[in-house]
Amino acid sequence: MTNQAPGHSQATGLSINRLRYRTRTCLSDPTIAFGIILSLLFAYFILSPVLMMLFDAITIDFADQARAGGAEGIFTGYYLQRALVSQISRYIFWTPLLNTAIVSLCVIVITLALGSLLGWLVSRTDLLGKRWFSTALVVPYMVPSWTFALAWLALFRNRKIGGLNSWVESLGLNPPDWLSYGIVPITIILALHYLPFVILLVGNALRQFDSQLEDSARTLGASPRVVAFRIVLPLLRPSIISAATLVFAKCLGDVGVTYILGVPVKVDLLATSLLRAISTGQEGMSAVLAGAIVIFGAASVLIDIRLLKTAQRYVTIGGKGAIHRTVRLGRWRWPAVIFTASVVLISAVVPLFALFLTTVMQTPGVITVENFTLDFWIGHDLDTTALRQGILLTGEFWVAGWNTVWMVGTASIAAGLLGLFVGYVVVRSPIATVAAFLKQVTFLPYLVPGIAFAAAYLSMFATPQGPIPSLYGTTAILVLALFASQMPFASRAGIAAMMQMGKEPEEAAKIAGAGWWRRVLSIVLPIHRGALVSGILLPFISGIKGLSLVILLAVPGTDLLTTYAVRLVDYGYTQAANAVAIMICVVAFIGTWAVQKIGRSNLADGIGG
Amino acid sequence: MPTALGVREMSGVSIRNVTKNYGGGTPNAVADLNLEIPETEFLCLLGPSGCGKSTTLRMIAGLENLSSGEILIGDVTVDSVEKGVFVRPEDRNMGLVFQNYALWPHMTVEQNIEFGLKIKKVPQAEREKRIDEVSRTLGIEKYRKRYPSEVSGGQQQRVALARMIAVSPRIILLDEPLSNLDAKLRLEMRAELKRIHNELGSTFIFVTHDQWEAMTLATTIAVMNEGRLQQVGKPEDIYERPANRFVAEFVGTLPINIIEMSSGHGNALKTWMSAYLSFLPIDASEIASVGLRPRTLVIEPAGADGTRNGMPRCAATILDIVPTGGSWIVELDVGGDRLLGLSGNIDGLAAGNEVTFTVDRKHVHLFDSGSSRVNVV
Repeated sequence: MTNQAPGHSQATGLSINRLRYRTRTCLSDPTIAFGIILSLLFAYFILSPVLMMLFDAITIDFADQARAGGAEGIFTGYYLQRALVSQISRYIFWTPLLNTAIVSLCVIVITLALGSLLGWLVSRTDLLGKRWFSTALVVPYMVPSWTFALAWLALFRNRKIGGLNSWVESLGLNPPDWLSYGIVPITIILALHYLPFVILLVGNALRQFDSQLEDSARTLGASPRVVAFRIVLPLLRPSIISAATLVFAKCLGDVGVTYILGVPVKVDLLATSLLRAISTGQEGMSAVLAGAIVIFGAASVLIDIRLLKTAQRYVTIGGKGAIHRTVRLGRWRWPAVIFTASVVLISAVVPLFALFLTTVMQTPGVITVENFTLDFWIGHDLDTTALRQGILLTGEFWVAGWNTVWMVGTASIAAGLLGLFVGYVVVRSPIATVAAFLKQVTFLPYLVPGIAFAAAYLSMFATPQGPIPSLYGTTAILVLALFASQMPFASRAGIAAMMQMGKEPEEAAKIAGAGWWRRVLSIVLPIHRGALVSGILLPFISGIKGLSLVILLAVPGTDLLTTYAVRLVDYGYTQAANAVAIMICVVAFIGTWAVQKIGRSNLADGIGG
Repeated sequence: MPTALGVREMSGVSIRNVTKNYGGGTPNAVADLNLEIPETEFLCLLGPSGCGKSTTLRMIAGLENLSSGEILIGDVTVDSVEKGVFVRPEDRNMGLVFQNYALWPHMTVEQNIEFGLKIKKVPQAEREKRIDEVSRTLGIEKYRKRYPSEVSGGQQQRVALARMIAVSPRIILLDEPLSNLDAKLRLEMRAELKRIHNELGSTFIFVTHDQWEAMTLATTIAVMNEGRLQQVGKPEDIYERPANRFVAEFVGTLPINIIEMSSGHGNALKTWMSAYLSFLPIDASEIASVGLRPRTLVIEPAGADGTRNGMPRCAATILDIVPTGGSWIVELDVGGDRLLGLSGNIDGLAAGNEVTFTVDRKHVHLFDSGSSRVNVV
């Protein structure tokens, strides 16, 4: 035994040196350290709010100690029971769930039917003005969904909620409630808003579709009908499923449209039920509702991912030799143009124009010279209770505008930069678990609809957390939530960009003697300038028009343009709200245009954001 | 260890007992590699893809860590798993030209060349001078203000070379330096690399799977297969005295003819070879296979006598004659076995002809059952 002792200590010395070698090779490149820091950051700002919110759903809230029969923080089934099986569960949960299901289903059916047809028309036929239409058809996606709700009110409002006359009323008609408010307009508006999703997804898939696949079926004697149903549709299935799940997830989280059009007739979807629970301070209930939205949202996205994975064999569609034959519409030429034009008209031109006209008319729908006014934009001393000047002269508007720009801007820049770093770590990290964790955790907000994510942020940051004071009502919570919610797109963009680069340029810099920071600053960031710009601008645009995330978090002092517009709706300043909506559209248009000019980015890339 | 520019500090590379395993139950990418590369050598690591040659190059550069073993540059240890030593690639003062050149797309040609000089804190005036020098040397003065995407592939390679030699590295590593170039540019760049090697006097190490590249550039070739070193030697040694069957089969434009002596039934080819071997001063029972390079086959019309220079001939039928420009591939059939010959002269030969062939005794490659070379004393 004594003989083995020296050998043993030699072996220990050797393994210490091996460890030292490993450590040195790892430390020569701070990617791992950086990855761990990023992981902690996102665990804190993304994972823990969601977990805390889910935790809130099963523990007793301070305010409910008596009712739930236990002390604060004790595990309880009280909220679940209250939401699912109590006397009020019908109003809180089941009816909103049913409404959500009806609306989403109808929206999916309408968007798929119209969108597939339009996608085919603009991608594969000799439709007149095809290029123009393919841009015009995407417009509804560039403007906030709740803008359409405002436009709808401007056109179809009835006397139920009073206020300004609508265009239809000015024509002397009194639209029924079911047309003015509730499920029907909500469905129509969401369908119009998300129609571009389907057009883009199906259109892109069809664009890559090799006509030879159809031709070979035709030469084997299949009729056009058989070709359409047996060849084209099955091959398009992945895009169609993808579009449908995206639309579902979006409907689930959309709060603005329902808030504006549902509240007057007490129609709730899950999202507005959650909004109500939160605004009445029911933490436990809102956690249950948000949890339900998260589960449905996550399930739909995960199903989509799974289906797409199994459908990867379809990827071969867009081979290099793909031949695109344009279908001649023949005698359907004019009906097709009229159909497409009327969709553009209904989904973009009429709502936006009506909205705009409301802001320059005293009484909507009355076309006389003296009825036109710029008061709502630049007027003074108006005979209203508050807001006695045009919107462009109102301090709150500019404050909200500035808030929007700096808050969304800060969040987007942070997300864009960190997204690139996440991409860097994911692609380069020698430790696979760090890479996998970062990839998943930054994707998490995508599974959580905006309103639920905001609820999660409230759960976590409404009370002091260690050194961090309560953030409710501060701009910090808005910036943080915006930042976190933009990470899915930003990190995807970062990963994609890093994958494309390959590691050689960086290794070449290493060999040239450049240290890590030098490599990042002189090589990695400059090479990805383009990706960085679109990684910042695309989330910025979607952030500017987003309402679902911020409606819970903004207070009058920290209003963004979107929440400011909704506040104006609440107080009955319809024209002013419409004017704000128009301004947001203008900013979004300019932004989108800039992105397409600066980067080669395509709007379709930004669809996830 | 970083050297000031202009001061030549020549160094060789020692690779000692180096093993690299990527983990996950994969076989060793490099297994117990030992290789001494003297300074000013132009060494080629040659082998099929996946043989571990690129991994070896990247380990020398410091871009890949070792699983065990050590690497020395000169007498300085830059990697030693057992001693716990690792020198960062940034500090190794090497030059590496990547297969795809890895030029930085956001910098002009000039900025690409300047980057390494800036890192090494060379003063502005000297940087200018150095850029002038190397861009003149490589004939890229005209393109200095252009971006990499605006110059051709051949010029991109020159830029990559310029960027690398601007900092006068002690060791120059090249990853498949000629493979992305067309035939004409290859010859040009080959001459260029040889010239740079002579001028700089640095140690050059390059990897390739292309034997032409290896043969034409290297002063020494190290053949690798499945992570193991097969043979180290001068190009002509590798070709004329392959250390084992793998090297014999891997090197050579036309595949070498292999006659299996240990397996199969006694057929015409084997019978001839057995007779042939009996004339050699060896123990024929040791020989498991014999390799004959196509160009060493001496093919003559049938009717000559049974031996040539004392060695037996073998009867064959010509299956086909394929012109390759200047020489002809002659496909032979020997009792059902196919053999390739390469001949500069096919006078009197045609497909279907009965012929005889044999080889000089100095051209037969003999291998034992372990596939190792058996030398004819």
